[in-house]
Amino acid sequence: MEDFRKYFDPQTLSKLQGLQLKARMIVEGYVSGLHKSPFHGFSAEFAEHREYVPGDDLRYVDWKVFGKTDRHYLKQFEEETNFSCYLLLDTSESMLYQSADAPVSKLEYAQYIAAALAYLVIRQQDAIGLATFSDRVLTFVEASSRASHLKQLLQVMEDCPAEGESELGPIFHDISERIRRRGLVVVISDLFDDVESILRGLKHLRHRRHDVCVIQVIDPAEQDFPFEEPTLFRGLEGMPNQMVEPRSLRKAYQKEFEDFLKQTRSALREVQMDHLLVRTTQPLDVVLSSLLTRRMHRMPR
Amino acid sequence: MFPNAGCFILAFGFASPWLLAGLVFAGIPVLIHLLHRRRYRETNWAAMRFLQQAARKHSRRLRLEQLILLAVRTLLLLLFVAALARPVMESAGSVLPERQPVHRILVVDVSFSMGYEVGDETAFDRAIVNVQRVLAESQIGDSFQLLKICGSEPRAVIGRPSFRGELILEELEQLQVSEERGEVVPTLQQIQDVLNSSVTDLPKEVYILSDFQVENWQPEVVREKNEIRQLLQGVASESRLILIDVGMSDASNSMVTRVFADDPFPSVGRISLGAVLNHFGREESSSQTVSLYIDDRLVDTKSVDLQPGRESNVRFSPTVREAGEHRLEFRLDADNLPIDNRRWMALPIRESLNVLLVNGEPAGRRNSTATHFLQTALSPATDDIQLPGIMRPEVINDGDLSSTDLTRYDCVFLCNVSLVTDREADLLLSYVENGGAVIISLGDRVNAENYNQRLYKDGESILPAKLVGRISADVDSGKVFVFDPGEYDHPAVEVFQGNPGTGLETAMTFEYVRAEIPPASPSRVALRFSSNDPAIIDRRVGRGRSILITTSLDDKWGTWAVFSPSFLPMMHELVQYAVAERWRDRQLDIGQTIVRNLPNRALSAPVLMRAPDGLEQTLSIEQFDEEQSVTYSDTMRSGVYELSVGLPSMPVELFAVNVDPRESDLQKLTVEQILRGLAVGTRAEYWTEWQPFRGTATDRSTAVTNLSRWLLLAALGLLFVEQLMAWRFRYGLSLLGVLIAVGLVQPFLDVGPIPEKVLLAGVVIAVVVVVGVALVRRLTRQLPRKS
Repeated sequence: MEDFRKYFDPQTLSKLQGLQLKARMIVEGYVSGLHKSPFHGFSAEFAEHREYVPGDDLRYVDWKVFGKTDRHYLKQFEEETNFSCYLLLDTSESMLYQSADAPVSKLEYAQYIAAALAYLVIRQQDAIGLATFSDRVLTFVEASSRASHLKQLLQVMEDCPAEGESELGPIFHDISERIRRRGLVVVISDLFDDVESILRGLKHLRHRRHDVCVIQVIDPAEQDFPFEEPTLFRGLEGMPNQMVEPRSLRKAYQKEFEDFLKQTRSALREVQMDHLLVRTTQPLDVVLSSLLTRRMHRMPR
Repeated sequence: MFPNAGCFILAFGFASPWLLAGLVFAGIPVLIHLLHRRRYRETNWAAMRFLQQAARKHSRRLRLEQLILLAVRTLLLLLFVAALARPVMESAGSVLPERQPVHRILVVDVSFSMGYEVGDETAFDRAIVNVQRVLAESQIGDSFQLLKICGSEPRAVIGRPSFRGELILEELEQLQVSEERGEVVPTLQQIQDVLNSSVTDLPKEVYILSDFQVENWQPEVVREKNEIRQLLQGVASESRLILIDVGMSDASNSMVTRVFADDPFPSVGRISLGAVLNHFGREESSSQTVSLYIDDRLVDTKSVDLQPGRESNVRFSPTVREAGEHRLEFRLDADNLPIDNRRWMALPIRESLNVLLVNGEPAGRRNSTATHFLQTALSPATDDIQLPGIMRPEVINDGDLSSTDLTRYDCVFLCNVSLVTDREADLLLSYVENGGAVIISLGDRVNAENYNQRLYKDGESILPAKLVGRISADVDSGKVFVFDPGEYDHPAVEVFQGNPGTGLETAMTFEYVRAEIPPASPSRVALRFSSNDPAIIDRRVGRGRSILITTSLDDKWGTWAVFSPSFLPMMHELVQYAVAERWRDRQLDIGQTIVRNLPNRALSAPVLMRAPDGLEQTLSIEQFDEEQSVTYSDTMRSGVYELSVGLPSMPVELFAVNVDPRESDLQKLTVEQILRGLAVGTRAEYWTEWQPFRGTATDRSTAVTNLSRWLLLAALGLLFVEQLMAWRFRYGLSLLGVLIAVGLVQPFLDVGPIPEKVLLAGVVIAVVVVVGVALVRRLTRQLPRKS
């Protein structure tokens, strides 16, 4: 339990208490206004009947039908939790980077965000799913709204190894085939890959009518490049090493990096996807607030 | 265009070559660079793609920037070490303009001859204009001192080196032509002292701005002339000496040289006055008017033709009807130098001269006393008729001397007084020192040993000579002593010259006391006996005079008092001569101090001195032992000063102050006399007008340029450049370009040298900027970015 609690920072969650996660688009043809969760996991709205099988809860046996037909049918209700959310967590080797001044690695930070979102969704009785990936999809957990599902998701996040190169484009294609129900897809990654390839994969998700939100996690050092002394930079994900005089190259590097960020941001904006750039030094509550506020703004009035 | 550009370098060297060993420090940046390449840190890096792209795009430029930065750092150290070695470049003229700061000692003649006016301009005006030009063309870093050639201290107007030109200008505005004489020797000594005591290592220039009068700069006294020459050589050996002649050639000037009264104590009635006039110039000055003013009223005028180089005498015989002190002014027509055309005199018109006769030989018969013949001679009278005269003799016995107020008397005679007590000796000494006159005559009662002990005191007291022993004539053989006036060169006997009828040389003396005058004594013999022993000796004591007559003034030791017609005039002459000393200090030169002793009763009285310009000053009475006196030394203007003591019994006393006539001869030295005579053996420069510094630099055969300043300046600039380059390479490169451009253009700009203080301030600013930039860089690196 110690491991799980770290995802549920009380301070973070208490600040989110007043916020409501709102779906932006109609998923599965149903959402109207403020989403209300049922008390017992089922909606009161009747959907269909099915035959009783041993083990079903007798409370839901439709006795009127039994009286007319002498057969046991169970009343089935339309599931009001018409919202499902998939978290796509990048666990490639580059996500392991942690600079000297950063409190956590990018992967850990991404896990925090994913856990917080999962908790939030589950708490609203909505369904949450998870996929971890590097150069391939490592694990895929279908969306579910069960409370016990959260524990499973967190366990998966913790157990997944950080290795391999990022191949984001093919991964997104793969995942878009796996997710059957339309919903919200939250990508948490440093996006250190070819922007065009990433965009094609994300477009596939979009094509599947998913609502895509990209949270790009970077380490502050990757943006500020604060190194002074001559440094041998060892490449991750199979990249070669590079000997650099940081003071003389700082400006040029920063330009390259900012160009990449700008390119990513504008590409995602073109396909109407949310993009949130976060540094691993930023408070989590701020990140979540920022994410949810954006979602609310995109929701039709 | 800079005038010296294109001159070639003759020599190049280092003042401290051993410091060049520091050049090895120039290898430090290279070493650091190489070491840096060997030592590096390692870290994992996720965003390698961007790092590789940046390195690929900028690798060539980065390498070039690093090399330039390395070169700048190396050059910076090279320049710094080279500057410490103090490179010196000797050149004809100089490749770089000579901009090293200079310490300038400005010496302005303020003697009254500098007031000679031509048109609307005086020589002093020209001197001031030249000094202003010196200041105007001076540059930041030059320092100044201002001295003046005058007759009294202080001669230093600005005694300590000042870097503030405006301060010199302020002092120049206050500076005026004085009424003093320009005394060259003490001024040159002061310049020498200034040079010797100077702590600055700046090159020094001494500018002397004067009219270079022959009288002052080439005096007739050989010793003084040689002294001036030696002092100038001393000054020129330690500085660059520039003599700026602002005097006028062929200047002519007339003046009243001397004024006098034939009788120093004239009585009411007609008095006889004279004025001596001089004229300096080439042409005769005819029909000049001399006016006599008595108590500011014109009483007479005379016309006189003045011949160049010759004295002219003018006589006046005005009538004065009131006794008391009178101010006399002799005024010549004004010319280009009016200050010496007026001369003042304070003349006492006395109704009487009070003479105290101390009789040392009381006797029942009048003619047996020691004072009888003297009293008769001073105030001749028959039984019922008192003959006219101003002498008022009063006889007392020697026992009454100590209880008599001597200040009431103009002259005191001691006649055959046998013994003198200590108190009496002190009284007499004090009386003489304060301007009194004592005449001592001897006789058979005189105790020579007592006189030597109390009145001579080895020359410290009033007796002019030591009494040795009585000399008697051999009367039986007909050999007696007579007077030998010699050349009649003593003032007391000069009236007898050419008047054999007075019988001075025929008066017989039978006895006298031989007096011995030490070789270094200031005493003068006025009259001798035929034996060559002194008969009358006088000596100045303090402000008064004492006279010794070595024989008696009665009929016991000779026939002089009884039969010689010379006795009466001689006694009168002696009294007037002795008393005149008291009045001599009423005629003063500019700058002399007025000292006046006051009676006890004046202690609480206000004492006021009124200057010729009407300003009054209350003087404080100084008390020393039992005497009171006032002192006034601010006699810097010619005219009559009035001293008034707030007592009814003390009338106003007048003091006439006049300019020194030697300053009036405006003949000045020629260029040859200055350069080949006055300043021979020196490298002194002679100008008649100010010449700009730029011109003067080329006048010098060689110029030594100290390059340290320039190298330090360049190192300072590179320090800025290095910091900027390390921070923003382009900014640093731009600054380097600007500095190089300024360095190339600088020789053609007349911006002057950079003084030490500015350089120091630049270094401080550089250090602050360097530290500041380093801090900013560190802070900006540490601050987190907002996404």
